[in-house]
Order: sequence, then structure tokens, then C-alpha cells
Amino acid sequence: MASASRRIVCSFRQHKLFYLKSRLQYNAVPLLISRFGPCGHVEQFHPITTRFFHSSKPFYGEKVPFKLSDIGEGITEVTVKEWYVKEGDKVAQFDPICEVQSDKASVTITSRYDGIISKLHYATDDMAKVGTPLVDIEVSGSVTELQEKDAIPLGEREDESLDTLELPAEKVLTTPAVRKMASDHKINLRDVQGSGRDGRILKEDMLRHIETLRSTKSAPKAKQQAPQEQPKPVAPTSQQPSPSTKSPQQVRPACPVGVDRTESIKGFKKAMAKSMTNALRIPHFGYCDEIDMTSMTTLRHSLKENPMVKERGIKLSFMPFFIKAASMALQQFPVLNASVDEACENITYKASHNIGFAMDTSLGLIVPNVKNVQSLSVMDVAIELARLQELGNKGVLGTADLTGGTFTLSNIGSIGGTYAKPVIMPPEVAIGAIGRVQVLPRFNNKGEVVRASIMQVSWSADHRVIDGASMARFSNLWKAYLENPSIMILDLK
Amino acid sequence: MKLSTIASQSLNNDVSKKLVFVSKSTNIFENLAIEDWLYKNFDFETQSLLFMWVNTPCVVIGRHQNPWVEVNLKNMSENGVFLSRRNSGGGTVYHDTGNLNCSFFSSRARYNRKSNLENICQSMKCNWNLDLTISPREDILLNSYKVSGTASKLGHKNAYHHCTLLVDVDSTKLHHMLKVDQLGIKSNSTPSVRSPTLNLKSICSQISVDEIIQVLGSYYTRNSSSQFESLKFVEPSEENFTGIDMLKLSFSNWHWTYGKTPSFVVCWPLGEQSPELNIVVQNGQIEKLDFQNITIDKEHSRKLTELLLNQKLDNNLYNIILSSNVFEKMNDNCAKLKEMLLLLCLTSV
Repeated sequence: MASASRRIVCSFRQHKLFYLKSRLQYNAVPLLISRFGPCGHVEQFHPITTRFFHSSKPFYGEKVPFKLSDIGEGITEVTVKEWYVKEGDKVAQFDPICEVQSDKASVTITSRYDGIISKLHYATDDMAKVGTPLVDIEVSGSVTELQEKDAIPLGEREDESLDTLELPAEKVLTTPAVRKMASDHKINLRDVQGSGRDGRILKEDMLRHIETLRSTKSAPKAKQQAPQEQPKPVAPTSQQPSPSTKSPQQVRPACPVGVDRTESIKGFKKAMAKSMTNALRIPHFGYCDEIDMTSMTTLRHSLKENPMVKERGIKLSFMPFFIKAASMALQQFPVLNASVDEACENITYKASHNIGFAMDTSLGLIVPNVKNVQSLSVMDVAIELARLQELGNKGVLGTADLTGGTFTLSNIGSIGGTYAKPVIMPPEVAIGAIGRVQVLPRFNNKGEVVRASIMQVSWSADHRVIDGASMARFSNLWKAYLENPSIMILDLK
Repeated sequence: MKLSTIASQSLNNDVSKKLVFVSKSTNIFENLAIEDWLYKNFDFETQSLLFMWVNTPCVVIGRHQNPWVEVNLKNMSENGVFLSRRNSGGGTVYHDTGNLNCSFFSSRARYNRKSNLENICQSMKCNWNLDLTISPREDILLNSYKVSGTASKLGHKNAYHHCTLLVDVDSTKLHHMLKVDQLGIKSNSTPSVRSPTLNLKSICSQISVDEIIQVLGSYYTRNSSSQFESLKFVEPSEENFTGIDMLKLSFSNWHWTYGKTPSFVVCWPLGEQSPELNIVVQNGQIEKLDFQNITIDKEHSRKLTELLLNQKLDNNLYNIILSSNVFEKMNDNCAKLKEMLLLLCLTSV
């Protein structure tokens, strides 16, 4: 592909020729392409009347295969139902290319690039496999940095992926022209602040960045993450005794001295900021207490050794006990499992105890919930916890698991800490933060100093609908269940 | 790999505003136009919408379906039942005022069919104690009878999932309209999967479409930060939805309803191993006639071709065939051919 021949070919381009399947063209046939439809517009191409000779493929850009993106819902194959373009058509980014159908869902596939369609890989009614190229597009400009994946970040099965979230590391949204600028100036796209939609890097952003670099003469910065936050609703893993395996994975590299860095809050942080702002409109009051976990620790040890439990293959932590005890206590104090509307005019006493537990993951804080704990045994809760944790670690938790919570427990103790001040998650009205189990000296009823496993709990509740006495009595009941697990058996339903 | 976080919960509950619209119109074309308008024009970045609508008797086929295969055109025209084609995939459904349609609109990223269906099941369970289940094909079942069908449309930015809910539909008419006579059609269009259906009212007599609208509306907005606002009743007028008149036209015209059918072949006589005549139909128009010249001689084939080629399968052709004398001169077998062709042309509705 010598640049000389490319230049010659480019000049032919100006006579509005286009690439047909046959390499050699003589007196090409006029092709009138018209299309109509829900996204229809009519296009016409001029017939070629001059004779010319192509020695190689005429092109002015690279041919990029545009692959069929993941439709979601576990679908691997779709039927191509209708093409909106033909080979040789000019397309702009986001123009519709074709309509595909997968079980009852009709999906419009739009173009990722500006360019010319050079090849259609499927005919109408063919089955197209997800992940295989759908069309080849000749893109103008350098495409060396283009990902050969697809533009549209899609919802994965049962999962929500949000357009506003930060994309995984490899993808930076921008146009091929801007990429060319970046590669010409040897700029890493990740360093450029995008001001377009979804953080898209526009041409102005690139120009501005180049200016900034010239003026500051600082070396391109390495990728930085904002420091790991420890906000009020502290984010732990849910296994109490095991040390946290989710240590912050972003190591802050050396940063040029004396240069401030502003980045816009977007994605998870933005959503968290918004939700926390909302949450703190609720008048919180706190109530803390200390639980003697000695009996619970002994019980757990003995259960772990028990062959019946071993064969079920579930790791039994304290969390299932905390959750079940909370549900049992909520039976007596249903006001804590309620929900208020924003104006605080109506309170709904929720029938199900959907108890959420905070989970710390690499991308942030998640709070999935275990549904209907009132009908589950401790073992059932443990199994459900394990399932949710596995999904959470993989990042495929579904909406069902993440919504509908009525009460939350946050096990910050697995990371550390004693007392905390958790923030309620609207529209719930209460939340508990559980501290670390420490071995401390305490007096028993004989007045002797004994070793005791002590754990702190800090409750926060909505003071508009919950009074201190209810919170205190609920906490006492929960404490009683945990300090004396045999009482849990008495109240079992 | 993307993770949903507390952010997503709040995006669903707080940041994502939940709206509920109910259509004032019972005309299928107007309602399809509203649906399409919302899909093309509404911004669902920070909000999601539930749109509920009811129609007078009509049949709706999926985007890539073949009305000649799915619907009994003769019964439709005799009963004045409209035929329409929607933009989403899936199969054929019969609507009347005992059927509620729910369209769940959201951004492409928040599209979640299963969750919408689960919401419906849960709210029905809470209010009328109906034990609804979701089949693997994402139909809603009651006692293993189908009470709801689902389809969806996904675009670059927006997506919607809509479903029906059979509350008190005239089942006799339903079967009457969807009972198709075989016409010998071979096509690649999406086939419907027929299932036995059941009306919710037959199990729970107090239920009604209006009540379900209220219940679903309030359930949809239950976790939203915005307090449950009352349902918004919308009129499909040009003032409310700029450009909707064009959309109404685009749904009610012949080219969309019949012309959009993927190409198919009609083989005559029915059931023969080697058919006498293959009629290739593209865009609702007869593109080609392939005669095997066994019972129909060359002269008549030529006359038939002259009569039928490049004609649309519509009312016009119906009259042409009726008034033509080509068939009289042919042998008796061809009376059936004439009948079949007339059936194909009953595309007035």
C-alpha cells in the first residue's frame, strides 16, 4: 500500500467512484440505491462513466470489521432481518445499519464509525453470531488505535450496565480523527479530559490538552485513581472473621509535584454522591451498643466442625446469624422494616424482610439484599449470601438482587473499626453497622475478669418515624439473640 | 466487566425518575404512533417510563412477520378488525378493550425485560393473589395458560419492552381472527408460537383493566424518589407530540403493514410435491410467476402473468381478478386458483 498509489486513488475518489465487488471496473453500472423505512432516507449514487484501472483495492482509509455486539440476555445468535445499507453506502456514526431479531426482541444496530460500507458479511435471514463481524467499514483517517470491538456498551444478562459509568480500562470514547491527532502527538487518550457526552473526547478537548502540555511541559501523567474513600456508609465485605480480601487495588503512582488535578465526578462516584446527598436529608439518630459474642463464637466453631454442616459445603460466617437475628427482631418491631415516601407523608410497613448487606468490590460499594429472610433458615441465608457474593465478585448482580431492600446491615468490622455512623439508604428507615470482634476483658456475674469476644454495633434510624425507645428495644432483642443463641430457637417460626 | 453498585440502586430508585403515561386513545395506529414517538424522541437517560394503552378490536403482527400466514384476512375484513404491524419483534396478538398493553421504556443500558415481568407478577400477586409465573419464553402464565406475550425493541440509545395482559378478551373472536387457512405460503418470516390462552377475569372476577392500570402504575413508581404522581393521561395530538401525525400515517398505511413483509413464495396447488405455480411476492407485490405448464397451458400462463405481474396484493387486484375473464376460459382446477388469489388480496384492513 504505497502512499503514492494511495494518493492517485484518492484523487479518483473525488469523482465519486465507489468500490464494487469486481476489482476491475469498466463502464460501471449505475447503482441507484433507495431505501425507506422507519429510519429511512433516500440516497442516490452517480453512475461512473469514465474508464479507469485499479491495480489494487481503492481506498482512502482502513477497513475495519464492525462486529455484532452482545445483545445481552445470554443470546449468542440473531437473525439478520433487514439491511438498511448496501456495499458502497456512506454511513455516519450512529446511522442504522441493519435490524436483527433475537427471541422477540428486534434490535437496531447502528454504525460505530463514519465511513463507507465495504462488505456485508450476512444476507437477510442469515443467522449472525454475536461477536463476529457484521460489516466491514472503510474508515477515514488512521485507525491504529481503534478497538475492533463494538461501540455500544450493552446490558449484560440480568445485569445493568449504565451508560454513565466509567468504561473498562481499554475503551476511551472518541472519534477516529481525534485518535489520529493523539497518535501524531504521542498523547495517551486516557490523559485527556473528555467534555463530550459520556466523557467522549472531542476535538476541542484534544486541542486544549495539547496546549496545556506545551505550556506546562510536564510529562504525561500516569493513570491515577482517586484515593480509596472511607465515607460514612463504610463499605466492607460481608464475612466477619476473614480479613478483607478486597484491599484497594489502585496504587497511586508518583505524581508531578505541585500540580493540582481536577476530574469531574462521574459514574459510580457521581451516583454515590447523589444518593448520599439524598440520604442525608433524613434526620438520623444513632444508637450504639456492645454485644458479647462469646457464645456465638463457640456455636459457630462447633457448627463448622459438624459433619452435617460440612457436607453442605457452605462457609458459615457470622453474617447469616446477624441477618436472621435481625429479621426475628424485626417481627417484633415492624416499624424498622418500613418505608417512607419522600415527603414523609406515608409510611409503608413492608411485609418482606429483604435485608441488604454491604459488599465492597473493586469498583465500589454494592448493597445486594437477601429476600424474605423471615421465611428462611440460617442455612438458607448463608446459601443466598454465598450466591450473591459470587455474583457480586463477578460483577453480574441483577436488578432484582439490588433493589427492594427494606433493612440494611453493614459489616465494616471485617475491615476494621468499632463504632460507626452509618447512613440510611432511602427509602429504608434504619441501618446497622457491625464492628470488629475483639477479645477484651470483662467482668462476669461473679465479679471475675474473663475473656470475652466483644463486638460493637451502631444503628442509625430515621427520627421522623422511629423513636429512640423502639430502636433501643430492637437492639436489645437482637443482642439477646446473639448473646444467647439458644433463645433464637425459642422464637423460631 | 461492569458492576452495579449502590449507585445503580439509587439510579433506579432515586436518580431515575419513573413516569407513568396512559393513552386516551383506543386506536391502534395512534397508540403505536405514541409508542414510536416516545422511543424516538424521549430522553431516558435519567428517567424510565411505563406507558399503558388499550385498543378496540385489532390484530398486531410483529416487525418481521407475514400477515398472510398469521392472520385470517377474510375474517378480519368481515368483522372490521384492523391489522397493524408494530416495530418490535415477536408474534401475532389480538387486542380488544379487555386487553391491556404495557410498554416499559428505558435507556438501552437499563433495559431489563425479566424485571418488568417480575414487577407485573408481584403487583398482581399483592393485589389479587394471582399466582403468575414467567415461562422460559418470557410469557406470563397462570395455571400454565398464557395470559401475556412479550416483545421488545432495542436501539442505540433507547429501548422498550412491551407486553399484553389478557384480562377479559373475547376469546372466540381471538381464535376466529388468528385461525388461518393454509395458503401454501413458504416464507422466512418470524412464525408465531401459538399457546392456549386464559383471561385473568375468569380466575378473579373482581379484576378489571382500569384497576390493573392503577395498580401497575403505583407499583412501578414505588421505589422512585418522586412521590407517586397520579397517572398522566395523554392525548396523541400534534400539540402534545410534535410529528406524531406523520407517525400515525406511517403505521396505518398499506406499505408498512403489508409491504414490509419479507419476501415469500406462494405455491399452488396446496400440498403438491411439485407445484404448478410459484408466485414470488416481494414488498407485498407479485414479482414473479413461475409456471410449470402442466395443467395450465402456455397461453393461459401468459395471460395470467399479464394480469398479475407487478400487481400489489390489494383491493385493486381483487377487483381486477373478479372482473377478469381469464379464469373462466381455463379448466375447472383453476377456480381454486382464483379463490386463492382473491384471498391473498383481502388486504384492505
